[in-house]
Amino acid sequence: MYAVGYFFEILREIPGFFLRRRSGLRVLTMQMLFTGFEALPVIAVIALGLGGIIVIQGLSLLPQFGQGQLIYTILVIVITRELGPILAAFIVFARSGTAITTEIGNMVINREIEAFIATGINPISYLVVPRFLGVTLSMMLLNVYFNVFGLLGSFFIAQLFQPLPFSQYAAGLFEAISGADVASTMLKSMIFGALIATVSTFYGFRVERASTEIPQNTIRSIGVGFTLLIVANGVLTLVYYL
Amino acid sequence: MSGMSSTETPATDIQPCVRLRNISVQFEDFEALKDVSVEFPLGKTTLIMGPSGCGKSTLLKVAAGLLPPDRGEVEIAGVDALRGRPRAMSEMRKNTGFVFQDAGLWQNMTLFDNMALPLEFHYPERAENVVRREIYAWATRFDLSSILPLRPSTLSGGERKLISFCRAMILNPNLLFLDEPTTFVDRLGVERMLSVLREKKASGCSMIGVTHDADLTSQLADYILVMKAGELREFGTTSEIARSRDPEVREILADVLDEAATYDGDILDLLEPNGDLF
Repeated sequence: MYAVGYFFEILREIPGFFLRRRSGLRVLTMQMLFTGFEALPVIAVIALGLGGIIVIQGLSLLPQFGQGQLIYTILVIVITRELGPILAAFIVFARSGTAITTEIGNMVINREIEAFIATGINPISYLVVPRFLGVTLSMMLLNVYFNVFGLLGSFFIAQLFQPLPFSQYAAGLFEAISGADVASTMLKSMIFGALIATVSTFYGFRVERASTEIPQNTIRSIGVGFTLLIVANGVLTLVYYL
Repeated sequence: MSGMSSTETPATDIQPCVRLRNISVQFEDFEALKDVSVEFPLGKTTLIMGPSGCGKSTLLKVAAGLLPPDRGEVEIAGVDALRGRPRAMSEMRKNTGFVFQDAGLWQNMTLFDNMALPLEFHYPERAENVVRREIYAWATRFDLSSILPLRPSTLSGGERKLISFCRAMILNPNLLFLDEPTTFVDRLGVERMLSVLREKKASGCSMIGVTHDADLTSQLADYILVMKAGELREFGTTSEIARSRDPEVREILADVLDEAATYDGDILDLLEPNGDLF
């Protein structure tokens, strides 16, 4: 219940961020740089690899059943709707979520949080809200990036097995993808981003006195965060089919 | 007031700026504060004294609303610090300043940003050049302008303390909490600090501090609160405390203010250097 209250406290502080853009914008920019921009290479490699594997497996199996066209549907389901958002979320949590928990935990130990409170700066408003917005926005952009690389990567891999013009490949993809797929993937990435930011900052603030609590809370945040991501992914997938 | 128990509220005619009722703080098995009740007078300077580890800084943090007690009530400038509405709390905080014992600077920011953030957060409409001017005015007063682009980790303990002091002053507070403000600071820095604090005192700013500094005590203190082992031992005006017949209080003051001080004369000199005590 405390964590739920914490989440609503973040939501309540969001409007204040836009009133005090100057102080929070720096934190937001740095967060997006670290979470979004610096994660681009690793996201690209994983997306290309995933797209490639689907194409290799699909093109070797599906034509045997006369279902070669299904490769586009499978690509959309796996990359756009399912694995794209969740894999990007895992990467973001592993890189940025742990960094956020560690950073805030260290600030607690160094009494920097006390200094925020003493100067009347609400730590949730200044520290959490920009990170919440930064991670959520980055997560959504990285998801788009993952999709682009995953779907494009599969095209290049497909050239090795079954050369086909890009227009034909693109047409097949556009036929398989629907507005609901795009809405689903963007909604998932937005919710995953909000979850990552909430869980990682929450566990950062749970550090109290000793520096040994920092790795303990980081590990807890990973365990809880990954579990919540998987549960949320399952629920959202179920909702999609309802 | 001599021999007052820690559960009694000292009787002052002046309206309190901070009111603490039945405060107890426990750190694991250690009881840092034991049922302390006290009202800090508005517009006056109260200095908390006592041997190391007696709970002075803990009491100060509770009084500033930085440390929620395990039991008791905290009221700062009329706002319930434990259950107050966020907007009232934010307004109250805007008018308070805190100088931390270990400076409490934000490590990943430059010193300029450490001083700018409270202004940018509370006064987002204030132009950047106005903020810059205010920061440089304070830094120049303490001869710190040249180090503003640096980060706290590159500074000496004294410089960190002075920046922490400037940051606490930048919002022009009318309630100031000082946790050993002069520790690590050189003589000139202490004199500059005292000059600012005298101005604040003259302007009616309420101050609550923890110090072992005899100069600070003699120049600023209106009231002294003596603590021992997490309990309020005695609380009164400097004259009342200096006249205390309680040998334990006199011993604590002698130890805290000057190890060379004796029971009879020196404590009075330290607390009332102008000799207008009697």
